[in-house]
Amino acid sequence: MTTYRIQNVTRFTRITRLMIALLPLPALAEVQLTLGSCVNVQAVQGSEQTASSGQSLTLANGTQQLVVECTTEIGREEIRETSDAFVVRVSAEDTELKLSAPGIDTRHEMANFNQQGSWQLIDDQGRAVAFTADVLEKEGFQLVRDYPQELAAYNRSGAIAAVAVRAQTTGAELQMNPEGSLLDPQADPDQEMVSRMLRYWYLKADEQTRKEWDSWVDSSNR
Amino acid sequence: MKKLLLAVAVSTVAAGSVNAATVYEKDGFTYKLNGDFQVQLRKKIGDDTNEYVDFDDLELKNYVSYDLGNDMKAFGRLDFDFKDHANGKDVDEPIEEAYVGIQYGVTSLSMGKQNFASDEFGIEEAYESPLDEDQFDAVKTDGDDTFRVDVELDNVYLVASYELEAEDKGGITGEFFDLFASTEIAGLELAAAYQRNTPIGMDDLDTWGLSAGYDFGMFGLAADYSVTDDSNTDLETTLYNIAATVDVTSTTAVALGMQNQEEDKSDDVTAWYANVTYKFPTAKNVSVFAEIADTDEDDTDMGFLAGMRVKF
Repeated sequence: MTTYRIQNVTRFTRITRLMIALLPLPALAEVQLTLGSCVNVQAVQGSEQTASSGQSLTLANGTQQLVVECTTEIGREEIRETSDAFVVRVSAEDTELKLSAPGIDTRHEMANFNQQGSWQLIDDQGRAVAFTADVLEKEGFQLVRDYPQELAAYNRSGAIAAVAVRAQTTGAELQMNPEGSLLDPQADPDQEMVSRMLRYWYLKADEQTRKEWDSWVDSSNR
Repeated sequence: MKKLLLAVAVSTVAAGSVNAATVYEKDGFTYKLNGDFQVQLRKKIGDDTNEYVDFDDLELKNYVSYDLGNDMKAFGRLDFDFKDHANGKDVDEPIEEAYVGIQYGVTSLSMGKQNFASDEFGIEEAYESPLDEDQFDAVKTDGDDTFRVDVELDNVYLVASYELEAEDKGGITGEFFDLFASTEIAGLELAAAYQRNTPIGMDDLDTWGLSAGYDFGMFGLAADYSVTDDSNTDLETTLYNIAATVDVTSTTAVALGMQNQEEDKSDDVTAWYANVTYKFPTAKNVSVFAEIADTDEDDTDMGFLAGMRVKF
């Protein structure tokens, strides 16, 4: 590697890092979801994540997809029964929500619940929040379910509570390869924002910086 | 000030979540397996009784159903309870319930070894009731030759059962006809039950019962009253229960209860009990509990128990 290239890589690495530090990327706001009596969570956003009634989950703003079910004791003999697994899709920002199911004491009520999917979602003011719920069906052995795999298949089917299959933000740190190219294993879901920011900073750059940026783009795409 | 993107770590656990109850479900066929294991250290109410490890429940419950279409379902249940075997009692078989049936809409018909309609009655909250749970339990609430009808409406539950006068290993049992009805009105749960027992070669025993209960959320209060009129002796036996439950926290509940049972021409007996139950927050089907209880009978010491229960 020539001295010129090393200097350019070094300068460009600094520029890129500066851009990362100064990009007005959105702060991560959140949704607090509390689980009502009998409600269990089995998966969140395509990943296996469990929580039981009374616990709270912290979700990112935007559209969230969960797999939930209700486990309760039925009848005088208090036999444990679990409802069908439901896919619940909700869009929310910077709020507190509570997901609950109606009181279920009999087999008849459990059958009705499985058929009607009468989940209830309210905010911290007690107002109903819109959501979509659908049964996540699985045939065969039920003892161990792979919810991420089932959800992926459900989302590909385009069913009513499906979400578009997209890359997940795993939280991996942004990294550099030895040549100074920025590495992000998965693209940000909000490409419009990314595009706006790139244009903004490009317009702020002087001619020299723009030439260097153009060179970098060319070399990264070879 | 420009804000930085904060990384959010999404934790993943080993693939595979275990479901409670339903083992297999395909093409309209469902198989459910439930379990209830309750083992406790117990000292019975009485005069100088000893502590012992009591197997209260060692149940494995199997339920199968087939969707027959047209809102019809065939079902069967086979429940085992090994507690008598574990407690060293002389028993031949651990079958607690074994029946088959047909469900059409909200109505189920079943026949076999199962509980009577009157078994649905009662509000007591004790782990081990100091007296009979209610007068129906004092007589009998299950049989081997039982036909049963259940109707589950939105707000009303109706049950009728009939036990044939038939021979089992204990000899020919008498005939039992039972009814039960319950409803909920504005949070108030009301129930009524009736049983006519006709023992072999004897006159009838009629038992009636009424109960009421209200759930205030964190606190519940209930009472029941039942009476048996024995035509053979012209004696009546009454029993009433009062029980209060308090959800102290989301994992801990306390129950307090009082009972009184009185047979004509005899002294009545009053009993009380108090128990506490803690359910583990990460696995609420696992609980530990303790209970104390006593009666006002002469020469009896207070009883206690402490144990653990695992349900699935």
